[in-house]
Amino acid sequence: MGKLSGSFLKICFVWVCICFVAEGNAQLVDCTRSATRDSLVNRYIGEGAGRARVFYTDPRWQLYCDSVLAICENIAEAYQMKALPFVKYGDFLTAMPLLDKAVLYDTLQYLPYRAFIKCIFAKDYDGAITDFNLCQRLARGGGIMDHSYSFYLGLSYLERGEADVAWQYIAEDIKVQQDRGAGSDAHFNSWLYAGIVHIELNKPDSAKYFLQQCLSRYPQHPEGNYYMARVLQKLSLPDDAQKHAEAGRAGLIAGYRMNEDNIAYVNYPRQVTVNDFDALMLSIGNK
Amino acid sequence: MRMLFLLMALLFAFSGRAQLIDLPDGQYVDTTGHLPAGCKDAGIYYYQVNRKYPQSSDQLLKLLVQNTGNALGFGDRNGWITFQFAIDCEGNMVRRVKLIQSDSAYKSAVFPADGINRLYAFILSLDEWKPLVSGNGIKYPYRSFFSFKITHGKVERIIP
Repeated sequence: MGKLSGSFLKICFVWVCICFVAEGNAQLVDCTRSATRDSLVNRYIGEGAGRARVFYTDPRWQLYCDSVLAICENIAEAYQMKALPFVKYGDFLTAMPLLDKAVLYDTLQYLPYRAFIKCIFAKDYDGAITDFNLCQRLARGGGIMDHSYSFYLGLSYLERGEADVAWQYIAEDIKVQQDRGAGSDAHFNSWLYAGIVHIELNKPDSAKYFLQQCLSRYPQHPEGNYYMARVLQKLSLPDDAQKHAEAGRAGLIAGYRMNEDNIAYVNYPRQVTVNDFDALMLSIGNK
Repeated sequence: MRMLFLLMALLFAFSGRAQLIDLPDGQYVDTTGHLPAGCKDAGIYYYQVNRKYPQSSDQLLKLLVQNTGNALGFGDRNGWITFQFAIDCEGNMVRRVKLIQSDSAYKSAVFPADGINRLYAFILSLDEWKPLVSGNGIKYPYRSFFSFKITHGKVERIIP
């Protein structure tokens, strides 16, 4: 009887210890605190992967992200970082559920990011419009990757073939930038897409005006020159068209680009290459 | 017996089954190629070395439509079909090509094989890949991809 009660006491002791340790561990990591989450990301990804020189193209990158999520499964940034290599290598099947998780755990931060990925990377314009409209409701006037939500809504509608709706958003994007105060100006790519939208609307004079605005801010802009050449060709000004085509082609060869951060990964809507210039110059020369 | 053989041949021809290869890391549309000896994979991706295909997405789409009429037998399907592959040290596409298919909700999908094979044939026809040579003259392969966004059975966009 004494032995039995002794064993029972031992079991109780061990159980109390287990509970104590488990409780202690639970208190050690409070996943609801943003400081805790930031600290885990910093420890495992910033320092861990960073010190080991593991870049996101390395398969081991996933393990560092998983280490974070094994401790706190609600860290949105870790899901976004896990998604990165898949987004940039066209694997939207793997990337998008990860981005959905990031949005679930930090909507304000990652809904605009997912919207951007849908618009620029996946060319999912319906999905981008849904996400960006929600972004507008959550934080009107906000933006991502140097541009307003209106800019991306404009691009999405342009690519869906709804140039009239696209123009409403691009116009809003330009106005918001200009209203920011004295000396504020709209981005040259806002003017570029305003020009392209007006080409689609079959308004070459307006398109010319907007493309002039683009080129006055960035004379070597390849797309600015390309679409200006097309407009001038349409306006029966072949010599001027040829000059812009030559300037744009030369700019492209010299390394000038649209200057968007993600241009290395993916082509932006209506982005052109040297081959496009060659075909355009041939068509200008033939007319 | 001859009838049976004929029937089998017809079934095979019209079954629409892709000759896809399942490997531990995913499904492949082709595994006949490999990097030549001396062309060592350094884990480089096209975006690290400015090696997107030299034709624009819009040009490629025009070319695809010219070649295939955009008639791929996908019916009214929507989604993405992605081909991942490497470009070897001489700028040739390596015929070891991973295939990823998803529907418009980013869920796993299976598109008809005939259309997938036509898209793959289109990729094989592209021959303007630029080789990668480092400053000290060493040649490296790099990884690239094409993703075809399918809308109502047609290729609507080519990514990147």
